[in-house]
Amino acid sequence: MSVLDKIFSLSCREAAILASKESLSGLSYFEKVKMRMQVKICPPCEKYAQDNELLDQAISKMVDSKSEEELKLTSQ
Amino acid sequence: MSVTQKLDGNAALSQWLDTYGDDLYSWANYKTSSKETAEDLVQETLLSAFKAYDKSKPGSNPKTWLFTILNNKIIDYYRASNTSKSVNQTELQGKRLEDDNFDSGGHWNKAVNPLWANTEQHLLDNVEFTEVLAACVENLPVQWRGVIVGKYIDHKKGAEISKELGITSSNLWQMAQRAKLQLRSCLEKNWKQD
Repeated sequence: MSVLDKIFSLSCREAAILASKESLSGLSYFEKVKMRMQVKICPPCEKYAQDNELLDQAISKMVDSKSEEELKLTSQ
Repeated sequence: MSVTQKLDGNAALSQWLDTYGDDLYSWANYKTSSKETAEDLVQETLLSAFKAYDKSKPGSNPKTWLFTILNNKIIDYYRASNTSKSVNQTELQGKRLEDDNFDSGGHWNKAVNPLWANTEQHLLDNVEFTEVLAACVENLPVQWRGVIVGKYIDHKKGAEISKELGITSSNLWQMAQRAKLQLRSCLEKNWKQD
Protein backbone atom coordinates (compact mmCIF):
# COMPACT_ATOMS: atom_id res chain seq x y z
CA MET A 1 0.00 0.00 0.00
CA SER A 2 1.48 3.36 -1.00
CA VAL A 3 1.72 6.31 1.36
CA LEU A 4 -1.06 8.03 -0.59
CA ASP A 5 -3.27 4.97 -0.31
CA LYS A 6 -2.67 4.94 3.43
CA ILE A 7 -3.60 8.61 3.73
CA PHE A 8 -6.71 8.33 1.61
CA SER A 9 -7.92 4.85 2.49
CA LEU A 10 -11.03 4.35 4.58
CA SER A 11 -12.66 1.23 5.91
CA CYS A 12 -16.27 0.61 4.92
CA ARG A 13 -17.30 1.28 8.52
CA GLU A 14 -15.52 4.66 8.49
CA ALA A 15 -17.11 5.46 5.13
CA ALA A 16 -20.57 4.68 6.58
CA ILE A 17 -19.93 7.06 9.48
CA LEU A 18 -18.69 9.75 7.08
CA ALA A 19 -21.91 9.31 5.09
CA SER A 20 -23.85 10.14 8.25
CA LYS A 21 -21.54 13.03 9.02
CA GLU A 22 -22.11 14.37 5.50
CA SER A 23 -25.84 14.34 6.05
CA LEU A 24 -25.66 16.05 9.47
CA SER A 25 -22.68 18.38 9.40
CA GLY A 26 -21.14 18.29 5.93
CA LEU A 27 -17.65 17.06 5.05
CA SER A 28 -14.31 18.81 4.73
CA TYR A 29 -12.66 18.85 1.31
CA PHE A 30 -10.23 16.12 2.40
CA GLU A 31 -13.08 13.93 3.68
CA LYS A 32 -14.99 14.42 0.43
CA VAL A 33 -11.96 13.26 -1.56
CA LYS A 34 -11.57 10.22 0.69
CA MET A 35 -15.25 9.35 0.29
CA ARG A 36 -15.11 9.76 -3.48
CA MET A 37 -12.12 7.43 -3.69
CA GLN A 38 -13.72 4.91 -1.36
CA VAL A 39 -16.96 4.61 -3.33
CA LYS A 40 -14.92 4.17 -6.53
CA ILE A 41 -13.04 1.17 -5.20
CA CYS A 42 -15.81 -0.32 -3.04
CA PRO A 43 -19.13 -1.13 -4.80
CA PRO A 44 -20.97 -1.96 -1.52
CA CYS A 45 -19.90 1.44 -0.12
CA GLU A 46 -21.25 3.10 -3.25
CA LYS A 47 -24.58 1.28 -2.89
CA TYR A 48 -24.74 2.15 0.80
CA ALA A 49 -24.02 5.84 0.12
CA GLN A 50 -26.73 5.97 -2.55
CA ASP A 51 -29.22 4.20 -0.31
CA ASN A 52 -28.30 6.53 2.52
CA GLU A 53 -29.24 9.59 0.47
CA LEU A 54 -32.54 8.00 -0.51
CA LEU A 55 -33.23 7.00 3.08
CA ASP A 56 -32.71 10.68 4.01
CA GLN A 57 -35.27 11.68 1.40
CA ALA A 58 -37.71 8.98 2.50
CA ILE A 59 -37.52 10.02 6.16
CA SER A 60 -38.00 13.68 5.23
CA LYS A 61 -41.01 12.80 3.11
CA MET A 62 -42.45 10.58 5.84
CA VAL A 63 -42.03 13.36 8.42
CA ASP A 64 -43.71 15.87 6.10
CA SER A 65 -46.68 13.62 5.40
CA LYS A 66 -47.07 12.71 9.06
CA SER A 67 -47.00 16.39 9.99
CA GLU A 68 -49.72 17.20 7.48
CA GLU A 69 -51.98 14.28 8.34
CA GLU A 70 -51.75 14.06 12.09
CA LEU A 71 -50.66 17.33 13.58
CA LYS A 72 -52.27 20.21 11.77
CA LEU A 73 -50.30 22.61 13.92
CA THR A 74 -50.39 25.91 12.19
CA SER A 75 -47.76 27.85 14.05
CA GLN A 76 -45.14 25.21 14.85
CA MET B 1 -47.22 34.15 43.74
CA SER B 2 -50.04 36.18 45.32
CA VAL B 3 -53.58 34.79 45.83
CA THR B 4 -54.87 36.84 42.88
CA GLN B 5 -52.02 35.69 40.66
CA LYS B 6 -52.62 32.10 41.75
CA LEU B 7 -56.29 32.36 40.78
CA ASP B 8 -55.30 33.94 37.46
CA GLY B 9 -52.78 31.15 36.95
CA ASN B 10 -55.35 28.45 37.75
CA ALA B 11 -57.84 29.90 35.29
CA ALA B 12 -55.16 30.22 32.62
CA LEU B 13 -53.97 26.66 33.19
CA SER B 14 -57.47 25.31 32.80
CA GLN B 15 -58.00 27.34 29.62
CA TRP B 16 -54.67 26.25 28.12
CA LEU B 17 -55.46 22.62 28.80
CA ASP B 18 -58.81 22.93 27.03
CA THR B 19 -57.52 24.97 24.13
CA TYR B 20 -54.04 23.60 23.48
CA GLY B 21 -53.92 20.29 25.35
CA ASP B 22 -54.62 18.11 22.31
CA ASP B 23 -52.14 19.96 20.09
CA LEU B 24 -49.44 19.83 22.76
CA TYR B 25 -50.04 16.11 23.26
CA SER B 26 -50.02 15.36 19.50
CA TRP B 27 -46.76 17.24 19.07
CA ALA B 28 -45.09 15.52 22.04
CA ASN B 29 -46.33 12.11 20.90
CA TYR B 30 -45.11 12.79 17.38
CA LYS B 31 -41.63 13.74 18.56
CA THR B 32 -41.19 11.02 21.19
CA SER B 33 -43.27 8.17 19.70
CA SER B 34 -44.45 7.38 23.22
CA LYS B 35 -47.92 8.15 24.57
CA GLU B 36 -46.84 7.90 28.20
CA THR B 37 -43.84 10.17 27.66
CA ALA B 38 -46.03 12.64 25.76
CA GLU B 39 -48.54 12.76 28.62
CA ASP B 40 -45.74 13.35 31.15
CA LEU B 41 -44.14 16.07 29.03
CA VAL B 42 -47.40 17.94 28.52
CA GLN B 43 -48.09 17.75 32.24
CA GLU B 44 -44.59 19.08 33.00
CA THR B 45 -45.05 21.82 30.40
CA LEU B 46 -48.30 23.04 31.95
CA LEU B 47 -46.78 22.87 35.41
CA SER B 48 -43.75 24.92 34.30
CA ALA B 49 -46.04 27.40 32.57
CA PHE B 50 -48.13 27.71 35.73
CA LYS B 51 -45.05 28.29 37.90
CA ALA B 52 -43.68 30.88 35.49
CA TYR B 53 -47.04 32.60 35.00
CA ASP B 54 -46.43 35.50 37.40
CA LYS B 55 -42.89 36.13 36.12
CA SER B 56 -43.40 35.87 32.41
CA LYS B 57 -47.01 36.09 31.33
CA PRO B 58 -47.40 34.65 27.85
CA GLY B 59 -49.02 37.77 26.39
CA SER B 60 -51.25 37.49 23.38
CA ASN B 61 -49.79 34.24 22.08
CA PRO B 62 -49.81 31.57 24.78
CA LYS B 63 -49.64 28.80 22.16
CA THR B 64 -46.18 29.82 20.99
CA TRP B 65 -45.05 30.20 24.62
CA LEU B 66 -46.38 26.76 25.59
CA PHE B 67 -44.82 25.08 22.56
CA THR B 68 -41.47 26.71 23.36
CA ILE B 69 -41.63 25.24 26.87
CA LEU B 70 -42.72 21.85 25.49
CA ASN B 71 -39.93 21.77 22.90
CA ASN B 72 -37.39 22.45 25.65
CA LYS B 73 -38.90 19.61 27.71
CA ILE B 74 -38.57 17.29 24.70
CA ILE B 75 -34.90 18.25 24.29
CA ASP B 76 -34.39 17.57 28.03
CA TYR B 77 -36.04 14.17 27.59
CA TYR B 78 -33.66 13.14 24.78
CA ARG B 79 -30.65 14.61 26.59
CA ALA B 80 -31.55 12.63 29.72
CA SER B 81 -31.76 9.47 27.60
CA ASN B 82 -28.05 9.90 26.82
CA THR B 83 -27.10 9.85 30.48
CA SER B 84 -29.42 7.10 31.66
CA LYS B 85 -28.72 3.42 32.26
CA SER B 86 -30.32 2.52 28.94
CA VAL B 87 -27.25 3.96 27.20
CA ASN B 88 -25.25 0.80 27.94
CA GLN B 89 -27.98 -1.36 26.46
CA THR B 90 -28.19 0.82 23.36
CA GLU B 91 -24.39 0.82 23.04
CA LEU B 92 -24.45 -2.98 23.09
CA GLN B 93 -27.21 -3.01 20.49
CA GLY B 94 -25.15 -0.65 18.33
CA LYS B 95 -22.04 -2.79 18.59
CA ARG B 96 -23.99 -5.92 17.71
CA LEU B 97 -25.46 -4.13 14.70
CA GLU B 98 -21.99 -3.11 13.52
CA ASP B 99 -20.64 -6.62 14.07
CA ASP B 100 -23.50 -7.96 11.95
CA ASN B 101 -22.60 -5.61 9.13
CA PHE B 102 -18.81 -5.24 9.27
CA ASP B 103 -15.93 -7.67 9.71
CA SER B 104 -13.02 -7.05 12.10
CA GLY B 105 -11.22 -5.00 9.40
CA GLY B 106 -14.21 -2.70 9.07
CA HIS B 107 -15.31 -4.07 5.67
CA TRP B 108 -18.89 -4.99 4.81
CA ASN B 109 -19.23 -8.63 5.70
CA LYS B 110 -22.32 -9.21 3.63
CA ALA B 111 -23.66 -7.98 0.37
CA VAL B 112 -25.28 -4.57 0.60
CA ASN B 113 -28.63 -5.24 -0.97
CA PRO B 114 -30.01 -2.07 -2.41
CA LEU B 115 -33.31 -1.06 -0.81
CA TRP B 116 -34.18 0.80 -3.97
CA ALA B 117 -33.78 -0.88 -7.34
CA ASN B 118 -34.43 1.84 -9.92
CA THR B 119 -37.76 2.64 -8.33
CA GLU B 120 -36.69 5.50 -6.09
CA GLN B 121 -39.37 8.06 -6.86
CA HIS B 122 -42.09 5.41 -7.00
CA LEU B 123 -40.97 4.14 -3.61
CA LEU B 124 -40.92 7.59 -2.04
CA ASP B 125 -44.60 7.92 -3.00
CA ASN B 126 -45.51 4.46 -1.73
CA VAL B 127 -47.85 4.80 1.28
CA GLU B 128 -47.20 1.26 2.56
CA PHE B 129 -43.46 1.83 2.48
CA THR B 130 -43.87 5.10 4.38
CA GLU B 131 -45.94 3.32 7.05
CA VAL B 132 -43.30 0.61 7.49
CA LEU B 133 -40.57 3.24 7.65
CA ALA B 134 -42.54 5.19 10.30
CA ALA B 135 -42.90 2.03 12.40
CA CYS B 136 -39.16 1.35 12.04
CA VAL B 137 -38.33 4.89 13.21
CA GLU B 138 -40.69 4.52 16.19
CA ASN B 139 -38.89 1.34 17.21
CA LEU B 140 -35.42 2.89 17.23
CA PRO B 141 -33.76 3.20 20.65
CA VAL B 142 -34.67 6.53 22.19
CA GLN B 143 -31.12 7.93 21.91
CA TRP B 144 -30.98 7.27 18.16
CA ARG B 145 -34.53 8.56 17.66
CA GLY B 146 -33.43 11.83 19.27
CA VAL B 147 -30.97 12.31 16.42
CA ILE B 148 -33.66 11.62 13.81
CA VAL B 149 -36.04 14.07 15.50
CA GLY B 150 -33.36 16.78 15.64
CA LYS B 151 -32.42 16.42 12.00
CA TYR B 152 -35.65 15.62 10.20
CA ILE B 153 -38.39 17.17 12.35
CA ASP B 154 -36.58 20.14 13.86
CA HIS B 155 -34.30 20.59 10.81
CA LYS B 156 -31.30 21.36 13.00
CA LYS B 157 -27.62 21.18 12.08
CA GLY B 158 -25.37 18.53 13.58
CA ALA B 159 -23.57 20.93 15.94
CA GLU B 160 -26.84 22.12 17.45
CA ILE B 161 -28.21 18.59 17.86
CA SER B 162 -25.08 17.34 19.61
CA LYS B 163 -25.08 20.38 21.92
CA GLU B 164 -28.74 19.83 22.86
CA LEU B 165 -28.29 16.11 23.41
CA GLY B 166 -25.11 16.63 25.42
CA ILE B 167 -22.99 14.37 23.19
CA THR B 168 -19.88 14.87 21.08
CA SER B 169 -20.07 15.32 17.31
CA SER B 170 -18.37 11.93 16.81
CA ASN B 171 -21.01 10.29 19.00
CA LEU B 172 -23.71 11.99 16.99
CA TRP B 173 -22.39 10.71 13.67
CA GLN B 174 -21.98 7.22 15.05
CA MET B 175 -25.52 7.23 16.48
CA ALA B 176 -26.89 8.46 13.14
CA GLN B 177 -24.98 5.72 11.32
CA ARG B 178 -26.32 3.06 13.69
CA ALA B 179 -29.84 4.42 13.33
CA LYS B 180 -29.51 4.12 9.55
CA LEU B 181 -28.17 0.55 9.79
CA GLN B 182 -31.06 -0.35 12.07
CA LEU B 183 -33.58 1.26 9.71
CA ARG B 184 -32.12 -0.63 6.73
CA SER B 185 -32.32 -3.88 8.64
CA CYS B 186 -35.90 -3.16 9.76
CA LEU B 187 -36.96 -2.25 6.20
CA GLU B 188 -35.32 -5.38 4.79
CA LYS B 189 -37.28 -7.52 7.26
CA ASN B 190 -40.63 -5.76 7.15
CA TRP B 191 -41.08 -4.27 3.74
CA LYS B 192 -41.52 -6.47 0.71
CA GLN B 193 -41.35 -5.00 -2.76
CA ASP B 194 -43.98 -6.30 -5.20
